[in-house]
Amino acid sequence: MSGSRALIKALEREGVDVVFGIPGGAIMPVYDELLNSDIRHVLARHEQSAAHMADGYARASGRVGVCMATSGPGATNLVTGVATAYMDSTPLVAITGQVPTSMMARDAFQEIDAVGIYTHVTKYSFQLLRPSEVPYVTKAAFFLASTGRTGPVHIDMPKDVQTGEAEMSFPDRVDIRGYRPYVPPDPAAVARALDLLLESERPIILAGGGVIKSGAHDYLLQLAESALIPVATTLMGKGAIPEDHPLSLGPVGMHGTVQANKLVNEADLVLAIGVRFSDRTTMEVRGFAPDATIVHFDVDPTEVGKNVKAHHAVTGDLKASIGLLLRMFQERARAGSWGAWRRRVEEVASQWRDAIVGVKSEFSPPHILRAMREILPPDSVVTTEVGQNQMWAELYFKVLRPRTFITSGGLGTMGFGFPAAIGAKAARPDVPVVDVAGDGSFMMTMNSLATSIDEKLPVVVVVLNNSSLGMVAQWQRLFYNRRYAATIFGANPDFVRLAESFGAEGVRVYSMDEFRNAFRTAIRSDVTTVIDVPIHPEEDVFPFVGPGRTLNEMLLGDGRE
Amino acid sequence: MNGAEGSSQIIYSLIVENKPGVLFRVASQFRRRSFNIESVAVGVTERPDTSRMIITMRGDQQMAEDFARVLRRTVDVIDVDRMDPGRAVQRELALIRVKPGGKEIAGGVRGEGELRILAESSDGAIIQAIGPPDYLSSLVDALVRGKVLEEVVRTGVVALEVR
Ligand SMILES: Cc1ncc(C[n+]2csc(CCOP(=O)(O)OP(=O)(O)O)c2C)c(N)n1
Repeated sequence: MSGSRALIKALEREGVDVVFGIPGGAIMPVYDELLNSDIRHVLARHEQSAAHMADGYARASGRVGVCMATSGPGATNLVTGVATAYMDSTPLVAITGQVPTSMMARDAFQEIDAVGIYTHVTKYSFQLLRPSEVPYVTKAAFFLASTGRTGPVHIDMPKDVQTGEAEMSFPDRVDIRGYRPYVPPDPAAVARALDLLLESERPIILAGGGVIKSGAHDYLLQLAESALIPVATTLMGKGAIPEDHPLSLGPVGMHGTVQANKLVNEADLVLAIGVRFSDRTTMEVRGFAPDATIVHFDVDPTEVGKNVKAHHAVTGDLKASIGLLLRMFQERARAGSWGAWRRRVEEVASQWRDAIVGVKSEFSPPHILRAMREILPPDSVVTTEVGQNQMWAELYFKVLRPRTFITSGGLGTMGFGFPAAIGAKAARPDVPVVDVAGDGSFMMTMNSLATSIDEKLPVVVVVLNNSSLGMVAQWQRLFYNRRYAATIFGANPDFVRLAESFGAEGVRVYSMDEFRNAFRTAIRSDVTTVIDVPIHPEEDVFPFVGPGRTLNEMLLGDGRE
Repeated sequence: MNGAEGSSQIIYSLIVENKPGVLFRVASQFRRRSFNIESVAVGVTERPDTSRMIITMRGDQQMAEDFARVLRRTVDVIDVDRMDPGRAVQRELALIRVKPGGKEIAGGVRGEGELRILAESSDGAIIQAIGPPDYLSSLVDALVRGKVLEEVVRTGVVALEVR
């Protein structure tokens, strides 16, 4: 059997139903073999988008996303998407073609050292040197991608490995000596965490993306409800608890909610679950929860103490750890004496829960996002681009289910949201998928309109159009004396006609009523719709914790701090 | 995050896969943090598919412990041991080309090391020196001061902890 056939067979054995990519000379044998398979191929228009599509697919479904590119420029174009997945721990397998082994390291046409590049943005980067290695390496790639702290894995496949023949044997499992992802939590450590929790007077849970990835959200909710502890999240943790739940405070951070930022800082214990204490979450670390004992649960031991010193840590699979913590809590059946704290939490939360701060009109992004939530069914998927659009979504779009909010948190990659939405639609054809976009970000990958039309993967793009690189302009307004260096667009395309030229729908709206109507139609349409929403060009995102500031130094946009 | 001067010696003993790319992956982790590796010695173990790396650098102890977790997480790294420098037997080998007179100066350097002359001519000699890294450093210093050192090649430290 050829290496290509073995690769496709190995993908089939992993249950892969779709791959996203663009072909080229060094990967043609694999593409040829794809025609003999039931695996669907979605043709992107730029490899970066192919990786984002696989990422969106993976985040929406909880499965491993697969993307493919040719050698050289295909492989380098794919890197941004793979790095984005790496920063957000998305399970991905990225396959690149490579020049034949006999040509390697000779600066052959379209040769780059893919393993050299990908090693830094993946959990592991494999280079195949013989066809017979294909089954094992593919199995190992999926194993690495989908276990422990999940993440992208790269396979570089020289052309002669694709065409060469070998006896193939497909392993059912692999054992990698240096990789032990199944570390059960230490019950004594979990018990100690519970002691600390019960001794505390003002506990708060901080839930991150790890809660969603590990599937620990049900246990988390039960724990919060039985102990009546408020839950704040990180940006990546949105959806770990339904954000309309009375115990939900929303996200903490640079653009966190007032209630979450305030209460994290008043807490005397932070139960941090599946978070990596990113600088955008903690802001100035010395001022982060200064009075709190930090109890950190994470699957990745290198996260403990990396950014914030933990007083106590439990490492291991989060679903198992939180499940155990919940059981232990229920067995002791003694809630902490947190009455005064609960009253304080409710006092702050009720004041700010429904607040919209610092807007210039009643047709501003927060209102748009509120309207989207009212209209969308709870299990709809929302992706975002990067910038103000993303932060408005973080603050004002309440996520009700895990895996329904998909954003580039760690890398902050403009152009992520639209292809990620297309990938999510491939995973969840049954629900509406919406990309909350800025005009700048949308222009980075808007050529994916062709993919969404061709492949019948309809999504809705809501362009919050300020004719600028809004978030950078906001910083220039606040910190650079309104000097707009390279942030104001002169000639934006007409997004309505642009969409139409691809065979998509385009519509521009000037009021909330027009938006609601257009949006209701768009989420039912069987083609992609771009809704262009011209917003005030100087609309800023608030609350805002400036760089170098602590979480309780929030700007609210109306002169208030 | 750089290993500060005046901080203590850190010795990592790694058991790793014996295959291409492993040193690159391990070294990348040091590079990303701008850690300066003082010495690295790699050789195959009693198992042909397994190598041992002894890597030394300077830095503080908490940083060393955190970084050990990073090394442990590296897929091709099977095991990581952070040795206590006080309890590790450390040895290094050096080959030193000296001018005439070098032999005598080397012989006068104190320490628990062994010297052998591997080649000799009227131009000077090649000396083999084996001993703890401190001994080799004193030896090199003395030869430099005596203006007889031509070149030196050191293997890097190997170490085993006393049980
Ligand atoms: C690929 C990439 N390039 C540059 C940036 C820096 N950056 C962050 S936000 C932003 C502006 C985004 O503008 P737009 O997409 O229009 O969104 P808005 O902030 O206006 O909502 C820029 C340039 C980035 N995050 N990603």
